Amino acid sequence: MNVKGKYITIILLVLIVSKMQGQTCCSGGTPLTGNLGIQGIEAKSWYFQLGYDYNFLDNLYSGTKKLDDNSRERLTQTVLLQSIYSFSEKFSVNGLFSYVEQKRTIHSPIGITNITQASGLGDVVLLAQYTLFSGLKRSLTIAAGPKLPIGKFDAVDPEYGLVLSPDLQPGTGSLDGIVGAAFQEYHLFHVPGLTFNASAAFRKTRPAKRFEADFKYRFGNETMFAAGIQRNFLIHKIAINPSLFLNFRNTQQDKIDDLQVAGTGGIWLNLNPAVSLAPNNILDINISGEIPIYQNLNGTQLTTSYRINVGIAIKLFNYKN
Amino acid sequence: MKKTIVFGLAVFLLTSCSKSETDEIVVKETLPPGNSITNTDGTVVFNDVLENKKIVLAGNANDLFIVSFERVLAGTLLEFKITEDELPIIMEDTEGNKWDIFGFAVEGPRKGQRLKPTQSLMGYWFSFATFYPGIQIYPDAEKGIYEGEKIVGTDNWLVPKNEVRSGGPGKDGIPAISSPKFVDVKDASFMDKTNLVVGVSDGSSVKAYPHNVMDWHEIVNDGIGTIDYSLIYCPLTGTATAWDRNVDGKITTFGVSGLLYNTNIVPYDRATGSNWSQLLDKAIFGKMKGTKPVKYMVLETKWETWEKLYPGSKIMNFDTGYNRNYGKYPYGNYKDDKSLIFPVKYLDTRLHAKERVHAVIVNGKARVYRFESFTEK
Repeated sequence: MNVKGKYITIILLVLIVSKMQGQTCCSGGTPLTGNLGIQGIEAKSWYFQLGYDYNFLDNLYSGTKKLDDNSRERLTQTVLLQSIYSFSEKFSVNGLFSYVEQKRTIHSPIGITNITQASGLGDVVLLAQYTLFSGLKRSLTIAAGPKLPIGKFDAVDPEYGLVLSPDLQPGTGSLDGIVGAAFQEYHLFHVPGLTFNASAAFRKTRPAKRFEADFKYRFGNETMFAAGIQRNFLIHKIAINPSLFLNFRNTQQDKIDDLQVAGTGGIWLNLNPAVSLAPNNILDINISGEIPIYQNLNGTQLTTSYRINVGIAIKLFNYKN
Repeated sequence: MKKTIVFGLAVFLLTSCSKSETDEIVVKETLPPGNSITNTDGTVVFNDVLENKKIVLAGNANDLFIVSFERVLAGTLLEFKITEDELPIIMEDTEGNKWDIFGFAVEGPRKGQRLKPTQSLMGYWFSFATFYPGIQIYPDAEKGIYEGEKIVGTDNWLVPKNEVRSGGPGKDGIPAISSPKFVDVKDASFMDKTNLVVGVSDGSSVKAYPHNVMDWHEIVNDGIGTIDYSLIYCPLTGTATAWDRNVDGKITTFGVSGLLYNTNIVPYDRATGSNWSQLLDKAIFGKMKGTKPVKYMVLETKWETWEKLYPGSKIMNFDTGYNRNYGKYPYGNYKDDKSLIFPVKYLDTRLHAKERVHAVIVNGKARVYRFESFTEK
């Protein structure tokens, strides 16, 4: 994998990281589907990506309409560690680990502010990746694997000691399946350094037991597409890679047993600008943001107002080089 | 509406406190009573006995209301019959008194007095069945498979703590309304004929609160005349109550705690922070634990009926101080299907889970009355 390829990879990671949880009321858990970072990498290489995501939600939407309301806020902060190891040019494994802090703030009608927080390890995603083709012009990698329910799913509220709702839990409690793919087209329009990226992911959810009763909560299935372009520049020996992506996300409504949960699921369309700086072949520093441009949400939900993600990627080992 | 006298309010306040359950009249319980009578409007009036408490019920399946009162007033057992008068008068008695839908005597020697409302609620069948195991469905004497089950509290709660759930939105995440605005009935173009409303009366004036606002806010802190009350509505159990806002000696407000017990709202009072159970009718956690609220009668019916009952009254409008889609029910198909969002302790399937029924509770025992008992025969 050349340097450009690595930067593309990193940018893709960063950009997709920025597609985290977009709804609050009853859609929680670690936002892993948007952070898969599927890509093929050089054989015998090992990459680590450490990211921090700050997602602030105080826009209240009913369907496509923004409601004039400032009574609720949600802040989700996530530390994400991604590790990819490639056994060959074709085959690699991708692990994604997270630590999540959820903070919900409610301004009561009488001027009291109620804050509820929960933090802990999120679920873990393990993907087997296979690169179907990778060349000078384009590459395509597919991936599949489980989301393991090791995340904290029994966080309690400090006032009553009662188990918090699923959307405030760092983990989801469910063993889900994920498939995805990532595509790159290099030298778009014969312009050196101009790359088209596209990725897709689907998470098939399964129910998780809640409380002590025979009662199961199931987050909605999730589908994501991202597409965009990036351009590479070299200034004073520092590679600079600005990019712009369009992200589409759809989640079905959550379910409690067979009943759909109000205020969950919907469609989001976001614009994600990003830039990365790579002073050398080892290190990459990146920052991205999210600009919501359209949402059509089921019921009434809080959704992202703004979002910032910073990350650092390090190539620790590469036999090939 | 015929004018009622202020004395009725005092009687009502004295008699509606849930703490006073004394009744010197002991009668043998019989089911079914078989004394159902119907007037020309289709309003059905009949007597019943629950836990030795003699009660009268009046309802109309077309107009969609059921109300119930104790038949003993000031030590006298009253005999009720149908009336040819129009709503809001629903019945008359053998003394010659005529009684309106809120239980006020509007004509006759007892004019201004008020029948004591039963401890009763309208709501979904499943909710009464889970809170009151052994509940009867009028006119059957069958008590269901959960007869004898008891609710035993744990961890300083009067209910099993592990059955109290976090509903999701959090404390005050569903904002109670503190400054409701009202419009005249004739100006309530936002209401459809079949929309349900909850009404409150102090004997001299009435107010209505639409379900489609209560679905989004659950609590309205309000008042009428000299009464300060919180109208509390749980959209998951479909139950409405009006509780006095004097808690621990202070006029306060109630808020939505975000907790549910048996999928029913657990309000909290802002004077002591105690948590209350709407359907258990008492505080279940905190300083006020075990205290029963002072309640006021509420009337639930459809908008078309309310317009007929009280055309000169006012209804809370959508100017709540919050921006919500009040034209849309927030819980999808919940009010029609059999599913529950949160589990309940005792799921009794004798009726459709969401059938709206009128439940009367006496000494912890309950009986529900279906609209089919209030149709013209």
